[in-house]
Amino acid sequence: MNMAEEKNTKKGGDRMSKILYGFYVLCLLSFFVIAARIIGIMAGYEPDNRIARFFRPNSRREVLVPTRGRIFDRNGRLLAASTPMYQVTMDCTVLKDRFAAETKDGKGKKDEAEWREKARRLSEGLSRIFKDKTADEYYRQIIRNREEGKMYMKVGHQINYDTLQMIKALPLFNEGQFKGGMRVEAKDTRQYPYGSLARRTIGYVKDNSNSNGNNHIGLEGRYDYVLHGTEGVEYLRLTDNRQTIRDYDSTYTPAKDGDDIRTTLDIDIQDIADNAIRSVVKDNYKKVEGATCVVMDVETGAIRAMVNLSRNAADTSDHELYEQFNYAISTSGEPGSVFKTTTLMSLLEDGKIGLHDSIPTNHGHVPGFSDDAHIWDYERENHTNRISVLHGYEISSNYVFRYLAYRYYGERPKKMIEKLYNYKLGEKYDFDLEGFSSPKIPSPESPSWSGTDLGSVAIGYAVQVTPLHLVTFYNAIANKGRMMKPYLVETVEKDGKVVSKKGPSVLNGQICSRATADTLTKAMMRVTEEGTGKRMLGSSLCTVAGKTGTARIAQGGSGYSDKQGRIQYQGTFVGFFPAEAPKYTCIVTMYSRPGTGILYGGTMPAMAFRKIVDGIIAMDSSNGKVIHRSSAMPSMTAGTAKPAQKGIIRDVRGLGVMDAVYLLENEGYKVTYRGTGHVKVQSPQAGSKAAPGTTVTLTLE
Amino acid sequence: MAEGRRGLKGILSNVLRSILQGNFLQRIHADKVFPQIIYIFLLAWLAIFLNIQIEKTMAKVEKNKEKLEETEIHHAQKTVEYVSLGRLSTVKELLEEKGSEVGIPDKPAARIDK
Repeated sequence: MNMAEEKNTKKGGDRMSKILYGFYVLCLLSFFVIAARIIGIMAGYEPDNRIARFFRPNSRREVLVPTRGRIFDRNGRLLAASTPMYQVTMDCTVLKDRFAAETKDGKGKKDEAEWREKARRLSEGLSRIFKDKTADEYYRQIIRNREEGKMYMKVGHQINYDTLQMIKALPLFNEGQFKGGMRVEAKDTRQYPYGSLARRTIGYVKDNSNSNGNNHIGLEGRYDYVLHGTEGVEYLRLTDNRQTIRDYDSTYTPAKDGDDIRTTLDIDIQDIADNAIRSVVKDNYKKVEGATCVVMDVETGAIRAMVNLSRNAADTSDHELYEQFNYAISTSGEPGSVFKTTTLMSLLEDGKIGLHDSIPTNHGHVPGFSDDAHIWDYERENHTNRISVLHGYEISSNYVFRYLAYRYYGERPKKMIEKLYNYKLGEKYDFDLEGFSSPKIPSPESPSWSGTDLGSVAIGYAVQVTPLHLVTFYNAIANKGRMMKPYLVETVEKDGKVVSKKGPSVLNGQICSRATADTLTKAMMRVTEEGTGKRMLGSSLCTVAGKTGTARIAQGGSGYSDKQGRIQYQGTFVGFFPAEAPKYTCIVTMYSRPGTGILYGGTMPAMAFRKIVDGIIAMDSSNGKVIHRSSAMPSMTAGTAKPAQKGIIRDVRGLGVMDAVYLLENEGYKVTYRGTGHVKVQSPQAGSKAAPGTTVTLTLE
Repeated sequence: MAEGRRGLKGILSNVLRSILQGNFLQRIHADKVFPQIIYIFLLAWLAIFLNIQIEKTMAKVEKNKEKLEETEIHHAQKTVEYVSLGRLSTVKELLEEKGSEVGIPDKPAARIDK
């Protein structure tokens, strides 16, 4: 290489190294500046909090709400579950100020007009979905709120998740909160798939944070500690991208969801009982104020149904019945003639009498009491002055039981009263619901005990018991003397696995002997075959052993009449079925409106009882006839599907494909289908005219 | 002592001079460990990068949690709707609406003895 080239190379090399050196010095200076700045910040720089909060990792504490446990019936059918409901609100002033500020070329006005046009289309959608206002009304409300600067407008009512998705797809709302103004507030609510069935028994919790007796109703309230679960805690922070994530450096406690409860209720029996009472009361709405029914499993004491229906006391024009007050456990009243069974049991157990023993009729007169008109009729019809204990029970004669009570317990009334405690009729035992009323039984040792109290107790007055006490007592008779404790909760479960078992328990192993129980069953069967229950229960689907009862309801200090002189009654029918091998015990009690006349236990309550018996027996094929191999088949009439009008295609939407195809082909049409599930769309449409042979296409979903 | 200070002063001035000249690393014979220095920078970059990716994934997890929650809500609501159709009275009404003669039994079914 010659000298000139060498010089050039050296010069080029020098320039390059100078450039590189210059770049290096620049980096070095930057390093010193940055280092000095970092040291300065660390040493004592205090940034403005209004700005700094955007740069600090924003960790906030979030409480994790547990999912409330579900409630099931005995067969695992869902009675109560938690799902959120949503309330949509709208900020009508979104972008209003921005549009107002954009004055160049009228852009702001144009954008505002566009926004209002979308609001109009939104209004049409809202009107179509909520059906509470017209589209115009919605639009006027939105525009008025926008002009008045109102940032909160409630839209419609609470909606479920599916409806929320439909709302979110509407014009304007599909642009989000900051352009469309849509806001959503989620609220956890309890859903009850079976509507009003057993609502009072299932219950609710008004205010979870404040647990007192008035807030916690039914099973939801009593078992809130099981259903509620435990809250969790997590800390959240913002990432550099302004997204929220969990702060893994902080404490995290997961929420523990509530446990599930499997009740003893059978929702089909509940439905049967509910419908039975409603159908009987429906035509007698002027007479009946409320009614209750309890169906109990004989062997275990499990409550299969508990119905409590009452009218809206605030609105006398409302004829509907609502599950709002638990009569079955909270109404402690004089039971009337159904209590005679306790007197009869005591007499039989003590060996004082037999069913066929007879006593003098004495024209129905017991000193201290009004005469019994039933005995006058008996004496006149039978031309005799003696009556058997059985017949006295059949016709529910007050005279017979007062006579027997005084004859055998007059010297020692305490013995008869003690028997009642033995039958647990004087005890408020532990039960699965709050509000179980205390019964009242007078004591011969009390200063208020009078000479007529024994006679009153014998026929179900001067004592106060709840319908639950009564059905438990009768259940013990059905169970051959073994008194089972009524209960509503079978197990507590978590994700299908049993956590704890509640199950049956015994209140009293033997309130009477089997022989006494059998004797009482016979007597009660006579009531339904020949006595006061014959009219309603004589031809039920199975034999019933029961007792009617009619009693006036005491009105506190004013005796049996209210201030207007009106009397209120309670009519009861209680019994068990099938009488030979009892499976269920049931009580139906109805309460009359004041001043509407006597509500006899042998009328509406017995009618409702009969419907319940028939409904339960009909549902269970184990009660059906058995066709043996050598038997002849029973004759059956073929049922025919309701024929469609000739030449008009019937509506098969909602049916399964097998049913839809069967119906249409029966009418001569050809059927093709696509998809799976139930018929969603049919073509030609229902109601169209079409000749046989036409192809009907079904779309299943 | 003065020599010590001069030594310290000398070291510092040498360091400063070599930094300005751009051959500091060479003077401390750091060129032998230059790949390790680069490796450390690479690790630091990787740690920051992975941290960012983790945060992105965690953000996705939170979004997926919301989607899962929505699916669970949807499932729960559908379950409630489905169960409500199983009510005896509701089935009876639906059958009547469809014009069916099938209804709730009014007597128990006969059983064939096997």
